[in-house]
Amino acid sequence: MATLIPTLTLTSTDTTGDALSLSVSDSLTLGANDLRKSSIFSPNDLDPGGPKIFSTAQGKSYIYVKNIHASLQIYLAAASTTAVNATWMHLAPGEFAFFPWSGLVDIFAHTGANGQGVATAGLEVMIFEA
Amino acid sequence: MATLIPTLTLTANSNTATTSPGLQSDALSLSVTDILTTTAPSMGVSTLSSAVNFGDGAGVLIPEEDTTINYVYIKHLAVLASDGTTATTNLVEIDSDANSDGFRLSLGAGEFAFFPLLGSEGLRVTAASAAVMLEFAYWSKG
Repeated sequence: MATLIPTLTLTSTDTTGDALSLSVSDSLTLGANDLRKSSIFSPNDLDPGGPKIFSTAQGKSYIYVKNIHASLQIYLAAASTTAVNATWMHLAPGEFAFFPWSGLVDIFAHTGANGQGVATAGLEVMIFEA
Repeated sequence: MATLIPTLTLTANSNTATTSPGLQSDALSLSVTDILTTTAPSMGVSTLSSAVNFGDGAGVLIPEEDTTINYVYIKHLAVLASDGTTATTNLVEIDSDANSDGFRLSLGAGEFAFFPLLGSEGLRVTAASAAVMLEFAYWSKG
């Protein structure tokens, strides 16, 4: 089994009266499959729809996503189907996220309502199976 | 308006390392950062029980009535809320306050997450078995 070490640092000088400097780290033991998937997706503007970036077949996983498109917003939707109102994450260009996913539902990515366009090579995804 | 700077690093040794071997023949070292504009309201880094009730129901940390995008940080502190000291591995499930959208994060002991939550989703936490202590903060997108 392999080990992954994520570290998150949050800093700010003006979100409150006092400066913020927080750093957290963990040592994650990955699953027996030692599976890491690193992908680039091109989310389209179908909501519901878009490419499936995570499948429940992988079970609990640690997921890193980043919107690397120059201008389009990217949304993540979680559902066993591409259900309406499944969208829960909003990544503006340059924004990223890291989270432990239960693995109980799939994740899809799209750029919002029809007509927003395709975020060609716009979403970077790394999945580490727990 | 204020500025929040998140930085994430993901590291792993090569799979031939004698201690804490990683996944692949080459070591992994990824670092990303961003500069986020935030505004009020926000909640600074706080320690709370997974069963806390701010008036929107047990475990609801952000109500679905909040229509703004929020940058969320949450960490499982690996201790029971009953005394704040007893170690626990109770999983904490994170989903929507509306509970109709299907997103499901699962925090194990010591695990953390950072993500931009879409407005009107809300955020609810539920611990398996007994409540656990969490570290939590959010900032509204400016």
